[in-house]
Amino acid sequence: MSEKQLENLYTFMDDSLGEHESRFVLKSLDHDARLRARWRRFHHCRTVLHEPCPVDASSLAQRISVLLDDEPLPVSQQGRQAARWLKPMAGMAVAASVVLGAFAWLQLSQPHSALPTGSQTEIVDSAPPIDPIGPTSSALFRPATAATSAAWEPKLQNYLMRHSQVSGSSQARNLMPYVHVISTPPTTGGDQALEPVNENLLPVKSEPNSPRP
Amino acid sequence: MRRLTTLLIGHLALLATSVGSATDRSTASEWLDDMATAISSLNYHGTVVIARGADIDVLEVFHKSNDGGRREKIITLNGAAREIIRNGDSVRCIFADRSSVSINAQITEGLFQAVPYNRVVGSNPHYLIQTLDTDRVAGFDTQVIEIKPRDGLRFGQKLWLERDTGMLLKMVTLDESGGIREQMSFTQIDLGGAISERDLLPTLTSPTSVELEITSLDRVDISEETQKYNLSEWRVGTMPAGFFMVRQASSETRENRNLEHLVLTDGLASVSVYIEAIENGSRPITGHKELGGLHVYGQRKDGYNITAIGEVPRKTLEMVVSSVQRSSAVADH
Repeated sequence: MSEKQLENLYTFMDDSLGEHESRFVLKSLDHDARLRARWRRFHHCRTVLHEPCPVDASSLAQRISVLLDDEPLPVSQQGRQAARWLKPMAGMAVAASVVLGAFAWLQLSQPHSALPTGSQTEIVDSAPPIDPIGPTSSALFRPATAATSAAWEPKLQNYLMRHSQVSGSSQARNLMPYVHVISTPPTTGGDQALEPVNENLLPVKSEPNSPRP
Repeated sequence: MRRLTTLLIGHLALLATSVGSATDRSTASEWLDDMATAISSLNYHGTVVIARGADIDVLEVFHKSNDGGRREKIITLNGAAREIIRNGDSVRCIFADRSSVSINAQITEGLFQAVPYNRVVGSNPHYLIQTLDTDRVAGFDTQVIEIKPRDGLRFGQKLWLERDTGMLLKMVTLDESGGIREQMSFTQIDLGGAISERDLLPTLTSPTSVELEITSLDRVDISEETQKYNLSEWRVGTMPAGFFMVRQASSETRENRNLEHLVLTDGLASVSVYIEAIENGSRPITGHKELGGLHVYGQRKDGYNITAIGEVPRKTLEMVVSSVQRSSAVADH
């Protein structure tokens, strides 16, 4: 695993890597077990964020710092010297920001405030499973941002887009019919572009198979 | 004195109207009616956080409603910069991060759809609607309404509706064990304020914007002739309780493959079933995936890839996919 690879992986985690480099990282993840292990450890850090229990800020920061301590920083040869003192500082800074993020998330997800009558409702961490659908495994190894779903293969994106459309139609009600489309933009032009949706619609006029409410 | 009395009566009437709108609603159904009206008729500007699994999206939304219809601007505040600007049936999508844009979706409604929930689920035996406690969201007092499924084949919802207007300020989708699958919440909202023309103008400058004319699926003109031909050979053998098929669509993919699209709904939740032949070079979707409240399940069957997507539990999708069969197979039985 080269330093360049690691650097790219970290940039990829931040969702700041260019498209071409991103593809290269995805391909590397497919073939490089060590790189995958590194990626999983990053996700381990993320998992800490999603603990539903009340969180003690200091202990959470400590745990994240420990996890980060094990992570070498992707620095060049010249940067190694600086990294010795930079690493603990960066670790603390990241841990602090992660704690802030965690509290923001808990504020949003806290069942006590979110569910007035549900005293013991759990927060479900429904992050996409590591094992993806189909053989294009690397396509789902994406940063935990809005781009996650954007990495779905075009076929699935196309299905999602069509589903969002019908969710907004008269008989299939959905309060936010196209929010998935907004946060899951179609892939870039060229060969990744989604095909036009010009379905030949055949509304079913017959009675439903099961009694309608 | 007479003038003072008139003024006093006027003030009292206004007070009664504004407070009365909340207290007059005695049932969850009335709250849901008001929600549908508020979503489509109110002006609002606010910040919305949408959390699905590990993904969190933050959007800024401007919504203006008048005689000319609904106008809306949605801006993504995290991730790649994007804007969607709606003016009636015209939608402009701007993606600052892309060299070319391709969004062929027919986006039928605004960010929030004015769903007549009361009509959709009010008499639906598969859901129970009830009024819960009050709460505060984005600084507003709200009433919480629960839409609870009576079985494990669909998800439930809780809606936080602003006390005076009925505007939806927060929503969570809950699974069968009460766990949160997906949630949306305004963190800040200006309700009923003026939305200027300037607010609705694009703020992103990108050469890659695209203007779309919306053709709602509802507005597609389907001639008598078309209705005679139900070309789909596919059907869902075991329909989950309460679900019924509402659409069958047939289209061609870019690779000139035929794609069947069946749509089922129970009135609230919807499931799309896609059937596509597996050919050389095509990658079937198999297995299970979830994204917040959305599930995907795919299976191979007799040379076809059958994939279902829906805001329902996994077992509902599995039930649907495993029972999909060709009409000829049904006839043979």
